[in-house]
Amino acid sequence: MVTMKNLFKTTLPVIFVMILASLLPGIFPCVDTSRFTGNYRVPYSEGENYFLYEKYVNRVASSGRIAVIGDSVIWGHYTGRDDNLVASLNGLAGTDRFANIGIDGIHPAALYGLIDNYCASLRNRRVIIGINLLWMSSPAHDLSGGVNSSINHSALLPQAPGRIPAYSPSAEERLTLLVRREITLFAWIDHIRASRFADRSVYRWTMANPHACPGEYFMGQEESYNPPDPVRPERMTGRDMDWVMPDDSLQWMYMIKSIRKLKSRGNDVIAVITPFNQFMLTEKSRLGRDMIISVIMETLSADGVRVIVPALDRAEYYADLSHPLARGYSIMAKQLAENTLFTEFTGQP
Amino acid sequence: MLFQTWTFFVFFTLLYLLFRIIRGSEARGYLVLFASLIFYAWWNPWYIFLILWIITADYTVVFLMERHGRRRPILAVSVINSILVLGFFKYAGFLADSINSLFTAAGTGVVVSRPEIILPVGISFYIFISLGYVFDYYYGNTERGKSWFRYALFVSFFPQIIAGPIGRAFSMLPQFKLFRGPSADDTAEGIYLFTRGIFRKIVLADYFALYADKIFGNPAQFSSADLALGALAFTWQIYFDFSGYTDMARGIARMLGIDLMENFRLPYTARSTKEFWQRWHISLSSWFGDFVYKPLGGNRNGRLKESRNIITTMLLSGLWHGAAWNFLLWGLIHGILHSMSKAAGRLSITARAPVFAKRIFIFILIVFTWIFFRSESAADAFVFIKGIFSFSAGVPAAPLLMIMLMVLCYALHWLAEYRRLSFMERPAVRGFAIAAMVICLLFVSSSRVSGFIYQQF
Repeated sequence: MVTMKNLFKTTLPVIFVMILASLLPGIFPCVDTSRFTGNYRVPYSEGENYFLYEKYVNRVASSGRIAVIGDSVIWGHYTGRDDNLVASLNGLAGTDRFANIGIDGIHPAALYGLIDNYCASLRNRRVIIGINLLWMSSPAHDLSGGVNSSINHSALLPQAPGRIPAYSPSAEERLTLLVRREITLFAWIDHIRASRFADRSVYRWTMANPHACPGEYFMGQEESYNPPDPVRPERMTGRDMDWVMPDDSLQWMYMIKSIRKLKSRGNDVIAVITPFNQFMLTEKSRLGRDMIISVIMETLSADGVRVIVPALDRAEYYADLSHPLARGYSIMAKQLAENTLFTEFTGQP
Repeated sequence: MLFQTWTFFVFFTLLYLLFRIIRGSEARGYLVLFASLIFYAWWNPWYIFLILWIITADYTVVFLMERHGRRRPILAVSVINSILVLGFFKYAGFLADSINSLFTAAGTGVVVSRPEIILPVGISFYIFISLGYVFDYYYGNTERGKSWFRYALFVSFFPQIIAGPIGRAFSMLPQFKLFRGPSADDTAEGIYLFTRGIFRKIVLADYFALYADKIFGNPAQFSSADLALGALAFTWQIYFDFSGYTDMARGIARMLGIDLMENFRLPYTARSTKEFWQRWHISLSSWFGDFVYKPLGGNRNGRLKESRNIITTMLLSGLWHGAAWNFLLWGLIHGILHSMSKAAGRLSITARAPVFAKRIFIFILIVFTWIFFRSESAADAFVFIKGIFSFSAGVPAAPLLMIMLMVLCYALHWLAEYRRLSFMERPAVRGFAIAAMVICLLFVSSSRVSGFIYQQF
């Protein structure tokens, strides 16, 4: 009995502290949600902070705003938070009707994981989903080519081996990602680190700031995002794309799954195929792009999903192959606002 | 599969559940042997054959000794086998490099190709565990283990296979024979040891490593203060890295009802180099003491021969650690220091010196020897030491938090030495200590997992 008592005495404080720790994620709304207004987007440095993302989506879903989801084109990689597509749409609407729930660098396979795991609150809402042809522009982008050791948002990918040819992490990496995804306490700890401490442990921070007072670490820091320099129009030259056709494309398969997942939750979904820079394509590649767009439109129409394809007719509206600049977003927003399918969807003329 | 990974957590949870379900020492033994082989195969499945070869060879040698008497030629078979295996896998590259350096110096133009062999994890440990059994049997310290499978379990027992402790047959084989289930005390102690070990590794060793790696990466670039702090950072890094591993190994074994030997006893408060080796990597020190130093004659044939025996033993210990000249030099320095320490101990002035001064002096000496251990080469070590004594000015780039932690670690070492921390042994205090360590781990740990220093040996 004495030994059982010792075991009990040893484990009781541990259990008590773990219970307390597991309650910590519950304090989240008191701390962060005030940020989720206007043209807010998940900060660049917190692109992998899915805990924050989920809370943001919950707030968007409960507010009834129209969610705009997608990759860096929707997020606005080459613009500030007030110059992207969502900001332009809000500008035209005169209210904050649209919410940018895009994530920088996310490919459709990860987007599916994002929707499946972190967008559960998005039910019976209106959702705009951006389709970027970049992910089908080569087997490497499609993740159907050789093994790639630096895949963005790998935590969102299916962790069962063999599902994504380019994704081949060790068992330990898969397990770590699963644990950090599935156990809220770990996700919250990652969130705290990413949102308050620039994704660095106090240890690495002290190494980078050896003479600073360790207390400063806990003060946090302001997020600032400096968009990268775009490709100048005179440097844009035609190049050949090694397109992966939709029938063979892994990314397209996941995009379809993402759309169906959103629809299965009762959402009204409209797809926007974002412009792909014709000034950086050869004639043959342009034909390939057009062929893919027509297949996508056909497939989505058969699924009962409305599709809009805005176009940008000047090289200076683009930042690179697939990202518009602020002016490009503004034109896209106008095209959408003038499109009957879109106005029917939003319920506003 | 490292102890501080999720893979190991799943592996051990499954094993522990099965272990608690299964009854009988035989069945438990088979289960743990199977688990140990899976654990080892996780790095490289082919090396399973290597460990099975070592086990079978030494088991057969002892069997032959029982049949034909404890004869030297039979013992030699085991020693030669171990040297050949270690020589091939661990020292072939070092040998080729050394020969090439000689050829280059002589201007022969001949180049010996360097074999590209992946060093099997923990090879030095399990070979020493197995060879230790042969020696122990030869010297009459232990009975022959009749069962091959139980012997295989002893050598390949997964908590100790990567970095020890180097278990001895006379204490381990009887435990495997009984293989009683763990008591509640064992479980409580196991949880505490494992948590303390992972805390030492992730919260302490990995932090000191950040600074030590930076300084040892390019010693010529840093000021004297930075170099001295870098040497201190490595001093604490290696202690917490290795003792953390040992704690984890002991904790895991304890949760299975097996008591592994203690490997560290506050080494940085030693009063002499001899005492340091009685407190640091105790299992290896006692192995070399029993099977190298004593058979060479120990201290029986005069001071000169005693010094020779000490230096030879320490040189071999250096070579055991790694196939590089800096490890040999590290061993040689320890050998010389140890011999000098013995001689100095006989002087009345050192006998009268206050104990605290001795402890501090030995600590400083040990810090300097670690410079040879950590440096990429012997030349780098000398650059490092020269840098410290150049007294170059400059504000050190060491974080204040790290310096405070180092001071705290040393203070705790002293307090523990003078038994001022015995209240920590109370179960409830331990419980709160575990909780505090878990909280630190949750916030400090990252998805990046770093290996242990000693697993490469």
